[in-house]
Amino acid sequence: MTETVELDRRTFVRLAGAGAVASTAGCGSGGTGDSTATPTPTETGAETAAGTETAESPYDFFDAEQAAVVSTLVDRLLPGSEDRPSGTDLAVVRYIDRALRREPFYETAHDDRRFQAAYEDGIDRLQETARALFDRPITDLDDAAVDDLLSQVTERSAPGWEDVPTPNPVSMTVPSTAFVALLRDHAVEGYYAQPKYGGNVDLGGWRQAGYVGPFVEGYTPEELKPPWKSMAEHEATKTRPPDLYGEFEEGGGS
Amino acid sequence: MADAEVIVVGLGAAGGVVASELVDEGLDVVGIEAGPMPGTHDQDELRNVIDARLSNTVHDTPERYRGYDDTGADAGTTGKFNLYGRCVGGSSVHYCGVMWRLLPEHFNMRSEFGDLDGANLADWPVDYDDLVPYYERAEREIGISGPDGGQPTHPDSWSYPMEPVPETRSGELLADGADELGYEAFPSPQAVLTEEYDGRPSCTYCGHCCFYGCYVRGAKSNSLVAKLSSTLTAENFDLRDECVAKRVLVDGQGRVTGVRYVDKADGTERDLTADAVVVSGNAVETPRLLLNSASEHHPDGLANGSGQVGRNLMFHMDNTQIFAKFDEPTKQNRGTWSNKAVDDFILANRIDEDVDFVTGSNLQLASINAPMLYGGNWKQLYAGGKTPPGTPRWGDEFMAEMGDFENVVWVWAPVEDVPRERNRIRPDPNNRDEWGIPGVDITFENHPQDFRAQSYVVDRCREIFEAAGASEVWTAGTDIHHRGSSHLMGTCRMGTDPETSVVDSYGRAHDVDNLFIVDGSPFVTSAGYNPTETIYALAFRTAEEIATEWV
Repeated sequence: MTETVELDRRTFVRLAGAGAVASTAGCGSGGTGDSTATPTPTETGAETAAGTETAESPYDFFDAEQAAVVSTLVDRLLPGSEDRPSGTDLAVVRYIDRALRREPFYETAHDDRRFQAAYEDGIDRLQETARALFDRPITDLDDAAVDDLLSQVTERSAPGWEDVPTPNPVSMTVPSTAFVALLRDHAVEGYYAQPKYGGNVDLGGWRQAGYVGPFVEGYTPEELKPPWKSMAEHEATKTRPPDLYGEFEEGGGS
Repeated sequence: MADAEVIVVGLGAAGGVVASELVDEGLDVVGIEAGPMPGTHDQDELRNVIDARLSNTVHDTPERYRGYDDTGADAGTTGKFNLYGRCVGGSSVHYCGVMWRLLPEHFNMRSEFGDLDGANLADWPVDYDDLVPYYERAEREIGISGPDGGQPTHPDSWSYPMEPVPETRSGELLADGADELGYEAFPSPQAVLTEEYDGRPSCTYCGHCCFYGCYVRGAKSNSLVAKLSSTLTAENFDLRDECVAKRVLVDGQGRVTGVRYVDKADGTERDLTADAVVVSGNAVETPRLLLNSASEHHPDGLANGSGQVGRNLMFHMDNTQIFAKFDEPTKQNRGTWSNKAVDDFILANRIDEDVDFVTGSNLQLASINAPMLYGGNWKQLYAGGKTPPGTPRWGDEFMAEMGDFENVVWVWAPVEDVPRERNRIRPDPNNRDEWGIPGVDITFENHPQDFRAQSYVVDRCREIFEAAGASEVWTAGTDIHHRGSSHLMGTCRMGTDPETSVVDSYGRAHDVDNLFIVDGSPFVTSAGYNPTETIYALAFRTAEEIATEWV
């Protein structure tokens, strides 16, 4: 994942707070930018970042403050390292923002729009918990404190999070209080889903997992065994399914 | 003059074959299907597996699930437990397509093993030999590839119309481990084309097979592409898709006269008349429809004089999963769902030691299609969340585990569960679908022998992986009471005695001579194999019976 620009976390959070998260990740996608269409970075947005506190969010659902909190959390849930991009590097926040407004694929299947309240309430509740435990908002916490916060919430020891039920795959319900579990799963979706949904910029999630991903041509019988070709070798000779990078129906940029 | 000679309710694996066969015989057929005609298919794990829960069009039947102690109308849990597709082609559009002939003993479990306390073991009214010609038709006409000689545990030998699917690295590893311990791994027979066949293209081994419709349309064989596609344009076939059957209609003598259905487009109810009706919903939807069709002549539900409609529900212990991690990539997500299987534990009498159970299981390689599924998600049920137990759900250690995604191998075991009368489906008038049709109330508990069989095959698989050099082996789905399944069997068992069974071996209802049932519900026992080749075989046999004897 060498193409992605690594930002230090402080810079990142500042930009995120001003609503430039998506553009940050998008800028990092380098040479394949035309295929991993990213939302308009808005020069103005980035400038506003440095200047005022009334930044307009580039997101449809999250306001700038919510986006900053979610960005901070996502980068501790899916932390980057020298070898791999972080959640926000791959525009996971943009993925979640779109998921929360996405039409369900089939009428009888999931509709993630029903989680909007869980996000709104959950972010507020988590902010309160951060203030109670650390006397400051989430976006002002260092990495260790955010990890501590997430651990206490997921282990149900944080004040106010003792009785959080587990999301139920059978009844297909997720209580509003299970916000962190929901955020974690949404973050994983954004990191590894096809780029057309807004995350997994430049297939960075797949590279992290060593996964080459789908091609129109599939694999020859020889390619089912070692020696393995690299993703680049496959891409040089095969065609990606056009919908891999296809624009999400609701737009979200260019 | 009836609207049709035959109405087929449900155009899945079985209904698709029956409708197509009867149309070819020149009968006027109407097919009623609750779902739509599937469109093109993609390789998108979010759309197909995570957000649509394993199929192109998930079902919309409300379910209640309860154990034996959960009495009272509101007891148990409501939700969606069972996984089946609602579209033309049914679950055969998204299935993994692993195809088996049952062993001769599978048709005679009671004779072979005797009675088992707490179970309702019985012999099928057909033997393996009765089904051989229909297994052959399924292999040829649906399009199944497999190893020369057939399944090695089988006393019979045969050949498939195509070479088996190519071996993958994970298949090689499983075979190495099995060989080391004196077991035999062999290529899984699959409804996958390994060459151009019947005008359809060969598989590209893209890896997006089970839970997906085929990206190379037609390379995964099913009743839609192999049979129905040519039927759809026939003059004597009328497709009513996106129409939900509400009840089967009967006349003053209790014989079937047609079907009442709801057209989902506008919510209107319509009645269609026919000389005969074939119900092929699946082992949940079929008893639901029959029991929702109670009438003056059939007060306990249509064709339910025996009281057996809805009973003897079987699921397989289909959450039985064994994983291994190796030091090198396996790239197990490429290729078909399965390319190697081990049959040494398929039945107690095939196991070289004394065991305290009578059933058993096939062990088959399976495939985690994409990293998102390895990482897990509460929406997924058993399709995802495959990381080793104790792996943190987030943070550096979680990310490190995700980095090992390509080093994993997954084996899946459809452990045979024995039939029990108390395991049953009833209509749930307190939990209706959006058209007002009662949903299903499912009572289910596995027999203790099922857990013993599961535990045994899991341990053997663990040893095979260790012998293959795995650095880590773990399991999921054992020692729990798994709810629901994609393998739906029983609930309208076949037999010779109208007092204890619902249909005869041709699927004809004992109580109503112009009503036929064909899908997984006539199964008497479940066998430790994926059920669909047997469902296809029964469908060919029922279609032949209708066309030659009934008309």
